[in-house]
Amino acid sequence: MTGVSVNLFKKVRGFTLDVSWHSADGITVIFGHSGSGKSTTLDMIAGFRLPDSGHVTVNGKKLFESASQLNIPVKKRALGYVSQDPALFPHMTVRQNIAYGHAGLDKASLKLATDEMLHVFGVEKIEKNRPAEISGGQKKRVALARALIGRPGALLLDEPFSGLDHPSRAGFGKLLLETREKFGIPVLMVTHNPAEAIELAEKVIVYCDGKIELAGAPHEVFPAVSGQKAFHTQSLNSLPGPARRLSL
Amino acid sequence: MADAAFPLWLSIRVALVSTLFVAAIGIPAGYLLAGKNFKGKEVLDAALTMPLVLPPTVAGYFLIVIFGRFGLLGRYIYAATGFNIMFTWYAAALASFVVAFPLMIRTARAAVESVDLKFVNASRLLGHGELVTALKVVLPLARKSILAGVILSLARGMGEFGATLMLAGNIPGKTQTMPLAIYTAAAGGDWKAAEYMVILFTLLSGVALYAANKLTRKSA
Repeated sequence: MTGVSVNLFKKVRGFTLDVSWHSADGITVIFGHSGSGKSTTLDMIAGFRLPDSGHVTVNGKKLFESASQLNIPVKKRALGYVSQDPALFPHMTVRQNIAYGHAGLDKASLKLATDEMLHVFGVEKIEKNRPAEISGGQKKRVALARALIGRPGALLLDEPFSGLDHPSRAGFGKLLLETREKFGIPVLMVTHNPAEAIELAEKVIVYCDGKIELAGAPHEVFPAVSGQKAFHTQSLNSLPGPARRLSL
Repeated sequence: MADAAFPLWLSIRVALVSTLFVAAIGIPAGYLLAGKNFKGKEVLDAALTMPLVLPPTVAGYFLIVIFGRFGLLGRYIYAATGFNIMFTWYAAALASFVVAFPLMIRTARAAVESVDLKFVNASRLLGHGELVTALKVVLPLARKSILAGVILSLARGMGEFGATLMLAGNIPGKTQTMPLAIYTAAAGGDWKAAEYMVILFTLLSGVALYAANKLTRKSA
């Protein structure tokens, strides 16, 4: 079975995360305001944080299950993860960063795989540059290439558009759609920006204070705003509380 | 001036040998202390870095108790090999190692701790284990501070006096390092020889500190 299924329960100092959902192939957006538990969910799927109870299953493979005390280590989860900060290794070139994403390939195969990723993500011309010498948009592309070169079972994106200007955002959104097509893996994207959710998601899961408030296709979750261009520039957090509720 | 040649050569040899061991053991030890949580970690850190605050003569005394002809380990080494480290240049290298080791551990631990966790997490997510992450991500990112620690350890090893005197003695042409030669020259009233060696030593130490500071600033 492809897709990601989670059932997560975690209590931390006055905050309780209690969610259960399944996402099929395609892009699923976890949407909500800051502190609603979105990034915590991604961290638990990646294995950086442990739920108190529940399970994490990716493409039918259990990565965590509290009942059987199963907890696959982070390095063996085979997941791609791109966070707000691309975390490119500053001492490596773009090529070396991407190649580092594939553990356990022989030299010749690794070169071929890296060449392909450099081409797919349009970063061949900067392959010898270090991260400090490239733009924010290019860093995101390199981070995506590095996350995907190892052909992970799913791609996790935590606010991937943050730090990008408007033209770069449009280009990066298109790239994400192409990436989904090319790699055919489930993509989970965390955002608090409704425009990004409407533009990219096949399914939206709305978090509020650690619980799921709504889930469905973008036009079901955002009936009042889908397709309204003016809304695309706004962030949910910039709206007052009652308006935020109405917009959902 | 020729009198300074052997002490200078011996000091350099002692410092290089001790620094080799200091780096080989101190960098992994600093890495473990920075990255791993285990019971008694801070106690171990305190024990390993204690020579930093102990008078070198106290460190020397401990070394005699452990490695002396009838010492805790020394007696077994002597019984097995017939070798006694006391009053050899190896003893000078051991004394330098003990006093320089804490500097290496401190700097290596601080250097590793200064590496942003996001890079470690990224490496783990990309399927790499602890060793690869250490060798390809953490240590390269911390290399300048670690190199500064190596240089400081080298300088400290060259300047060692008290523990060396206790363990290796002050035998001209055999165990008399530069600091010991300076002491002997000054105590014997040969101020000219002492002055010459003091200037040489001060210059060497100054260059080492300058290099260490420069590396530390660049890595910040």
